Amino acid sequence: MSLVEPIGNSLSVVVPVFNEAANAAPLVTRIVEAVRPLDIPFELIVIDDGSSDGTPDVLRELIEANPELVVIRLRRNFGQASALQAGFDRARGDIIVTLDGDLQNDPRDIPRLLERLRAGADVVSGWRLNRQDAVVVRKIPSWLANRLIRWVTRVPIHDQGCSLKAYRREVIERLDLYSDLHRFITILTMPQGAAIEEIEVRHHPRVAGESKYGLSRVLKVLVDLTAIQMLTRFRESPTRWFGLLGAPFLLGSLVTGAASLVLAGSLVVLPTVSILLGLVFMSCLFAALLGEAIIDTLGSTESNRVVAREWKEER
Amino acid sequence: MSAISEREVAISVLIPIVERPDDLREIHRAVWPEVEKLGQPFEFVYLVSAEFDDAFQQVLELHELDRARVRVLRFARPVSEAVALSAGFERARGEVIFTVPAYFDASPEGLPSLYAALETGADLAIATRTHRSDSIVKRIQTRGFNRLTSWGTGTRFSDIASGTRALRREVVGDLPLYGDFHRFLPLLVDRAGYAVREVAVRQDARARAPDVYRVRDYLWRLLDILSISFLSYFTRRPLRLFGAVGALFGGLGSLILLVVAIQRVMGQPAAGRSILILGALLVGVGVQAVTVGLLGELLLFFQARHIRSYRIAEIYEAAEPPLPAKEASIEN
Repeated sequence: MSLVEPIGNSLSVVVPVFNEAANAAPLVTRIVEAVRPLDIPFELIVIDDGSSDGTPDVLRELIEANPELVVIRLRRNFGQASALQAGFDRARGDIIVTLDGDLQNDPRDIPRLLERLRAGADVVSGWRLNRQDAVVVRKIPSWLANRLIRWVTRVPIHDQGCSLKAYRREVIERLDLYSDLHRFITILTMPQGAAIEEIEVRHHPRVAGESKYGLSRVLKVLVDLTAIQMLTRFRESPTRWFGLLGAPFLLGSLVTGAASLVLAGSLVVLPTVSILLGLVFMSCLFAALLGEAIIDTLGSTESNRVVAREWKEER
Repeated sequence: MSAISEREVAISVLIPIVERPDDLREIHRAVWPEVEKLGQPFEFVYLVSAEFDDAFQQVLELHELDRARVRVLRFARPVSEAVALSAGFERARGEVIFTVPAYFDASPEGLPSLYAALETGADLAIATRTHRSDSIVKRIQTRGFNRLTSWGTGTRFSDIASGTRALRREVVGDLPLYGDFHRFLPLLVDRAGYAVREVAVRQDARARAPDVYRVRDYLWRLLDILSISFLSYFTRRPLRLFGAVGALFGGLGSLILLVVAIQRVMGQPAAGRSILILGALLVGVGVQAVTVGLLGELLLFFQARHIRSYRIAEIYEAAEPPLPAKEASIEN
């Protein structure tokens, strides 16, 4: 008996691009060259996220020579998470692979990712051990962010930012990406109970076009991390989350309350502080109730989202 | 006069009568020939808010003259332009929709050029008023409103609140039109992923906007900008705003409490110091802000299943798609 459900064969490669006219042709060629020899049915979905440099026209020309190519042109720039979601919504393969449109990921790693999926992983994430980026603005902040994310979420992935990833279709169907959630995609698969693995992948320096990331995103990542933490670990029990948040205030309220009783005659300040802290705790409780109400009305299909596999005889 | 079947209407002209209407017969006489020039079958739809009885009588007269092409809709209560327009959008039969104010403003002679903008790829064309005959006081107010809106929303529209617009029908399905959001229509259309174009149109010499409004109106405008700015920046990630506010207040409060605590250790009694209350209050407000932000995130996360924030312009693919379409394995 085995928990491994055999995975279908077909593959969707999903690539969001933004102003990559110079990279578009080599990107498509390289992916197609890497995947064709595998002899599996596949499609390459390139999402143009509102480029202004003629990227969609370049891509369109490539369809004739590469019938596997599907180009989704968005009305304007919606950001990477939405672009990826557009690709996921269209993807028809049993396996979905994502990578960056800037040629820094190497499509020749795709077969290795697929192997791990066949061996039972639900998500395989790339790890750019030999990362070819600026040290100060890219590598160090990213190293710190990854440490922090690993510590907070306990998802043992070293390189959240690597776009080269492979998923079972079921995992992607249970995801809804918006805003900048693509950065936390592996973490978001965790509540599903997805088996997450990591393998080393190649990384190339950027040859054409411009990098679209900057240092400022580190701050956003920190704020988002708090939200992600709640959304993944506590999404089914907001009362616990808000209870934890409120606990120190309850404690403070009790301590100051006791102190004001002991130091009787000592005035107004301590009792007032005690009452204030108690109110903060109460408002955390109210928030918990609202949270429960939200989940009760909107999140009631939560059980659909956990991966459940049927036990099957190994073939 | 021939009856017009639904399919034969190409252009709908919506005229919401919601504030200070001029003589509608004059407006009608000025607008009608400009729309006629476009050479397409069209209809006029007057949307009359409950409080305007004279205007209602005037448009009824117009309706009697051409029952098929002049439609009148009367609301049972006073409504805002946004509400009147969404009712109009629902009933409009044309593929192209004009909105024209019930008072003289941007010259009706500009309507053909708005139409031309739609034909060349715009989804919404808005008449930005030039050569204004409004008083300097009114113009300063308009400019201030535009500046503040640009700043609050990170967009650039030179005359966002202009009531003379042309838009494609498909656009209106995606708009959250309520309250006073008609003032931000170009912004909403832009946010929904459609193309907005500004077309300069002379202001009609008969335009007579009041110089000064009630204090309440100004207050409402400011709050509108606040809410639209919130919608523009933070609807997708509420914690980024509330988290920042919460961190600021909570940090300040913690700092105060820390200083008081240190001073207590050094010998100064903490009891009786009112700054202690300020510290505790700030921490409390900070926690509340973070809490609200987190609840917002929770709401959005679960709502995301039903929302797609992108809009597809076009899909290019080979005649034979590479993979056959597939049923989703879970209900979404």
